[in-house]
Amino acid sequence: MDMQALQAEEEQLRQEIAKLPDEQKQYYYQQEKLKVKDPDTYAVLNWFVVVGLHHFYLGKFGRGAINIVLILLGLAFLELGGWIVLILVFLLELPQLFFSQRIVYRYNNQVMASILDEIHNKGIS
Amino acid sequence: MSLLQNLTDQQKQWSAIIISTVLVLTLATYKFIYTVLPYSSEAIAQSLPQSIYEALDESGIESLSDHQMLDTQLTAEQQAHYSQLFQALVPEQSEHAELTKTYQLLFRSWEEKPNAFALANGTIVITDEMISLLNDDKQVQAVLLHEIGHVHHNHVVESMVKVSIVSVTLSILLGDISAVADILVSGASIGIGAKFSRDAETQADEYAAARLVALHGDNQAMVEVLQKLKTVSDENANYTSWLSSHPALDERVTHLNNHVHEFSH
Repeated sequence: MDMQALQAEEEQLRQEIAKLPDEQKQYYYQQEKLKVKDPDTYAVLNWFVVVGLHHFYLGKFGRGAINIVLILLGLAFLELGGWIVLILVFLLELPQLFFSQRIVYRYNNQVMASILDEIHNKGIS
Repeated sequence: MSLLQNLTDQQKQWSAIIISTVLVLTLATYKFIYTVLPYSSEAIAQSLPQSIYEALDESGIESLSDHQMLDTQLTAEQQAHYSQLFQALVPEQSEHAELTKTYQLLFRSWEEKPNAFALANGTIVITDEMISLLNDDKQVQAVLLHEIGHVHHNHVVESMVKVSIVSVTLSILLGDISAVADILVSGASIGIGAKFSRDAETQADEYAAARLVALHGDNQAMVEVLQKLKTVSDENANYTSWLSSHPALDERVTHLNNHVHEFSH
């Protein structure tokens, strides 16, 4: 999904939020403040020591843990070819730096949609 | 588990980020210091042109007078004797075959400080005070072999390259951001430099011990020299300059005694 489509999706979600009663709207914004992520933080965590910390930031603990284990193994066996693992992880993860805005935009739209679902399904008032 | 359950999603995420960062940075730092740095500094030092080694020795010799070193008071006969002793110890080939070392022994006097040191390309300086301190030719051989060991293993240039790599790496990682970064860069460079300096001393001791065992059947002269230096350094703190970046003398003696059987092979 490109940025235009993501912006259109967000606009649609914002319109839904605007239709909520005030109490639900207040609940929504409380939840949104807690759950939405910052693309710049995501990008910094991706770049910082390049080990997949950005996955943890978006709550993807499994993917993050796999990266950390690979990096630790690569470092431990550096002289036995571990450096190849480090380069592969680096090549796999670094491109996400350049798509961080889009990735986090999509994540935040998903968060907005899930909060709205929660409000609709649980009937939060 | 209950502690984990009590954490919010955000706290869990940042806990994972912090723990992972600490784990990776700890292991990465360890591997950088003990694997990457020795390997890369050795490779870079070997690839430097011979002219750099020659220039380092020339500037080193020129700067001797800046360090309050005076002309030797040894007689021409004494100098000839020790030079002959030295030439007999010069190895045919360096550890790194592509480097051609030009060994030469210089005598200087230095404010009553017993000292000896090696420059990059094979120039070794010994002070009159060091020669006076030693009892016999075997002990002089031990000191000269220790310094030859530094040249043989290319310690001088490797040490300079190591400190440069640490400075550049930390500058890249930390950037030119603050005085704190400057302090970290300087501190790490000095700390790591001192660590490698101590390792180099141990390696030079081992080299000298092995050569002494080959020459005389034992490394007793090296042990005696270290014990003599310990006496001098205990008597006057000013004499510790030669030892400041070295491991404790007791440790060096213990190391030589414990590993004597290895040097005979």
